[in-house]
Amino acid sequence: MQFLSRYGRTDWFGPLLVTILAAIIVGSLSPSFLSAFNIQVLLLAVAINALVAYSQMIIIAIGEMNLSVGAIGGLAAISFAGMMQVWHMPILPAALLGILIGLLGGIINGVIISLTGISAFVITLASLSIYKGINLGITEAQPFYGIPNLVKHLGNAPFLGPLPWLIIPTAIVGFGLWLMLTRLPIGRCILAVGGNRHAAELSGISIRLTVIVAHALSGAIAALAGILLCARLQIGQPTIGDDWLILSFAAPVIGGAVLTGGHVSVGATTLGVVIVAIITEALVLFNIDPFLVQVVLGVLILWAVGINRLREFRLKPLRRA
Amino acid sequence: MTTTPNDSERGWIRRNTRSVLRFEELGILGAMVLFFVVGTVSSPYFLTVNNLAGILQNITFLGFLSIGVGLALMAGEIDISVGSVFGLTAVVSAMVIKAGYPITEAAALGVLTGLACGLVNGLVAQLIRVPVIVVTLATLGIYRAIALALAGGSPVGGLPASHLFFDIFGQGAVGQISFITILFLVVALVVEIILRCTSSGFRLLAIGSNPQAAHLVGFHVERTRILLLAFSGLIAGVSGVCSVAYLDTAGPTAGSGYELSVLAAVIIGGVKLSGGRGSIFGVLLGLCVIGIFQNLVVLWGISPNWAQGVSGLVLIAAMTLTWLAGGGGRSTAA
Repeated sequence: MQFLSRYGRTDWFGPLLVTILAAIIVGSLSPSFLSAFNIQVLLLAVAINALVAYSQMIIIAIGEMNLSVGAIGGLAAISFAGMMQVWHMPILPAALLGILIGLLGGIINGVIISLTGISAFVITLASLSIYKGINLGITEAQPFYGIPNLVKHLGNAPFLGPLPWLIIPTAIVGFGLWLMLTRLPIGRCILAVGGNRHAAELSGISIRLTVIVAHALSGAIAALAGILLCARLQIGQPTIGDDWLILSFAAPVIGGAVLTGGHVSVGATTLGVVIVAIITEALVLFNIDPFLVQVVLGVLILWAVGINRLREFRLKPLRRA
Repeated sequence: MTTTPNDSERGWIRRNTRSVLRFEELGILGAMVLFFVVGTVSSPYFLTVNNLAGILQNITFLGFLSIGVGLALMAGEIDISVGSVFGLTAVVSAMVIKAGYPITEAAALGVLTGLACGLVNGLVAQLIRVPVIVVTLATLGIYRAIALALAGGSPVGGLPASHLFFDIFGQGAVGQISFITILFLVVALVVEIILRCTSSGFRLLAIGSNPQAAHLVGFHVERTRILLLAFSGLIAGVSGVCSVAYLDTAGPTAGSGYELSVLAAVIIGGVKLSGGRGSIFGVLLGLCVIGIFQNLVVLWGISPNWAQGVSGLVLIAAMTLTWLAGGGGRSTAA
């Protein structure tokens, strides 16, 4: 019993149970779900969506919101594709420049937010339309088709069994974030600022710097997600990132992230992404209207937030004991 | 003033001009005049009756939504799902019309759908005690997806254009000003009077500026907020139904991205993000600034692809200016 309550209190335990249950249910209803090919497709989706979720998770950790995640990702994706097609740039510099653009976008968000003190929600809403506008202005709403074959290959092929290449950068970023949030000073600063801004300031943490670093990281990770999606789609779509917003909130919240900040979990967020992927996959397998996927995601967010509230009430007395 | 008023009369005038025009609104009025002058100078087509009437027509649909969002923001809440409610109500009423039901019933159903959407926002936010921003973020996706699924992804067209409903709300106009715009202005005036001259308006602003104190005084904070979100949905529904009458069609993606323009208008209009301050008159001025700006983008021949980016820039510039005018360092975070 004690064993159960110990695991019941961790963030990852609930999502893990749901993941296993969902995999068993969907797998037994539709045997093709557990085929190697389907798992590979599932992992491709998870690889990209996990980065989208991490990008939002860092901002949730400082108790803010970043609505421009998708716009930054889209801008980085089309810059990556455009630099390769128009300027014939090699793959690696193009990817690095793309990530740099995302980093810059995040830094701009962070600087304006920390300088003016206007809520991140509104600033990122405005910068969303700026980044999206630049994206549409550059591309004139036309996709870039000139993606090198190597990128196309890396974006879809597996390197071992059903494991796709795309999972590697995601795993590195995920591990890095976990290390940062649990072991490194900057990670602790980010969580402290999210947990209690006033206390963090009194203990000597620079709020401004922390906010800017968090937004810069968020921008860079969103850019990486955009570049990976560009490789996966084999085309530089200007619409990349348009539908990330709800997803980016769903996964961290399912993973127990507290929206007021200070409490996030990389592992549980990743499980949240897996749950969303399985549910989306199940909707496709059962021929449900694809438009309803967004409804399910929205309901999932509200449900998870509700559960989190419940957990807060339940766990508080336990922690004190 | 041609006659020389005595002191008490002058005091009366000063008091009332002060209460009609606050400091922020003077700033917006200045910005609007500036935009107006720039427009007149830069384009010969700007200062024509047709163009100005067009601007007014363009801000009407946004205007309905802005009233709802503005009121919610003044009470310390926010509603970012209005664009999706707009699209959903338009699709619902168009589909009911197309199915052959009487048009009045269709319109009523559309407005009721909006009311239901707003009520769901408010009730869910209070029931699970989540910030309403998260709730409306989720419902932004949910309502949009329902609209898309109902309409099957394509616009609902082929409506019978010859009917009293379409004649009045679609083509009906006094001179160049359509009935929809007049309806909007009347609603705005009524809401402004309620906000300024009744105790309900006072309570609303009190709840926005300090919810704890308002609760201690005995105001119904939760009930007011639920009602405001319901009203925001209702008025978005009115806007959606009017758009069906005006356009004779309903696109399931209609109104996507409206939340940005609406928030821009409301914030430029001097409504405080953290609640407790603002007026519908300011929101109207903010709407005019947005409308003139969008009009100039077209008149100057800027590619519509860039237009979205420019409007984001204007929003950031407006917020930074408000921040500077408000003394810089003081936090205005919501």
